[in-house]
Amino acid sequence: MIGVQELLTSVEVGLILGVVAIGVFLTFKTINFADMTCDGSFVSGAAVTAVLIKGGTSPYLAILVAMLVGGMAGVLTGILNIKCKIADLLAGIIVAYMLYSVNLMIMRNSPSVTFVDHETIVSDSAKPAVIVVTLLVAAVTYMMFSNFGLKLRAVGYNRQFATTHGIDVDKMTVLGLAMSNAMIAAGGSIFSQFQGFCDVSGGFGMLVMGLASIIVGTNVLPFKREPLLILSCVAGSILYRIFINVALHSDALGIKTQNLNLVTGIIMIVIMVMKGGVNRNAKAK
Amino acid sequence: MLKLSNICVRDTLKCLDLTVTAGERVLVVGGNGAGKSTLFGVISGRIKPDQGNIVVDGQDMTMVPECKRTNLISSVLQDMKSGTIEEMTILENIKLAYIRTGGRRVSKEDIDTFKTKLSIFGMGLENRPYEYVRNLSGGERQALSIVMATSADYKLLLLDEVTSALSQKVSDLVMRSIGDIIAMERKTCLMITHEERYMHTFGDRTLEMNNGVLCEIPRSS
Repeated sequence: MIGVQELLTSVEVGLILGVVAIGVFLTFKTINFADMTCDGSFVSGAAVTAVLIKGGTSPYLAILVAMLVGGMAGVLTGILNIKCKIADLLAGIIVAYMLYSVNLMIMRNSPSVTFVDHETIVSDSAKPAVIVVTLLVAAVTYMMFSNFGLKLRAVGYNRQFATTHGIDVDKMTVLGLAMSNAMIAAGGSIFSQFQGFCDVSGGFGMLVMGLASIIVGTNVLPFKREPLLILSCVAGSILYRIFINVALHSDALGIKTQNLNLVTGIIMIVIMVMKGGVNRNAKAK
Repeated sequence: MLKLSNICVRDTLKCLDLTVTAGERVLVVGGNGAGKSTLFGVISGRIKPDQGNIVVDGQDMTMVPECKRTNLISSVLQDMKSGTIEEMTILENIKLAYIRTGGRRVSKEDIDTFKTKLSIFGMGLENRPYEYVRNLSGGERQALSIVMATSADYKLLLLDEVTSALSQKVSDLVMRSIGDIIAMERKTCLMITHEERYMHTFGDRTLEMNNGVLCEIPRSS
């Protein structure tokens, strides 16, 4: 069975990756933009952090720089979509694809950078990481409750409405993408500090993991008001981690690490199909 | 107030001129495909004219994008989905309505003014701020759209067949309430309608759109 220490680690990892889930939520749900930049910008955040910390920079400053770099990746996806008229999915895929090379450049052409022996925010205790994550979650929740958040959501729900109500849809889309990828990169930064290394292919599947957290969180928690769904994302991420950990440690289920993607995918499909059956009338157009 | 000169849009509008003075309420009628909605699209900025000039309240609007015109022009369209956000509550929609003219915070007085205006329709919407708009009927949604369009400041109101999807009874109620609101605010308003029975009762004058040009229809008094 799973031990207390392992459970705590799951909560910790879940909390950190909850920031990634929030990032995914901001694009996929809030502005209704299927942004695939995630897998790339997550590693960008981690890569920048690894190189900076190795060079002696403060780990907190490294998070900020990581967010800046992630935000820039988001802006690029936005520009490709709006100015170059490339479909949202494709724009994200292209940027994530290009980021692989960029990330290798950041990491000075080495596929992984280790910085276990350097000072990070989790060196002494998990507390600073929890505080940083809490601050990020609070900032996004506050933003969602503000007029700005209302406009952002209006863009996601109804572009025609947004335009006739004086909202610059293009500007909001770019800002939404920037914030989303800044959050994802922050998640990458904190996660790499937690692990003590950065791997250039470490972002693989982060998007699906973020979506899984959103699906678990929004279906398990009773929050209905949309700004509060930000909290559901974090809770979903923690629950998802605990579930994975329990599943991997249980002999009865017989799930092995190599089955994880399959199991996660099946769970997501099952929840989505069930949810669709329940909500079909409410969503009828 | 509103001055369109020499507006051409492909085959739809042909060198159209229109002048509307401040406080005037103009009804626009005409057959399907005559270009009524295109005319509104040009005024609101959704459609770019091939040539011509648009001046609203003394400002040249020809090159101004749609989302930057909304502090002068407010519109309610035929399509119910475009006037409200169905996934949000009535209260959230009210807040969005005030955002149209700038990012200031919505005060409690704003919301009270809004509710008073909603009560003109007599549908009880003002008592259900946390109701999701998707649960409202067609008439209720249009009522909300109209109050939203007239809540924050505006100089010109465009109403494009706002009652076309409603039953006659609800439609009459909505039209009466629109009349009350417009009379109260003394704003300039252009309205498109298909319904014969409003043609001589609403507004100050009637224009007919025919083959991309407008001509005045005399009112029987």
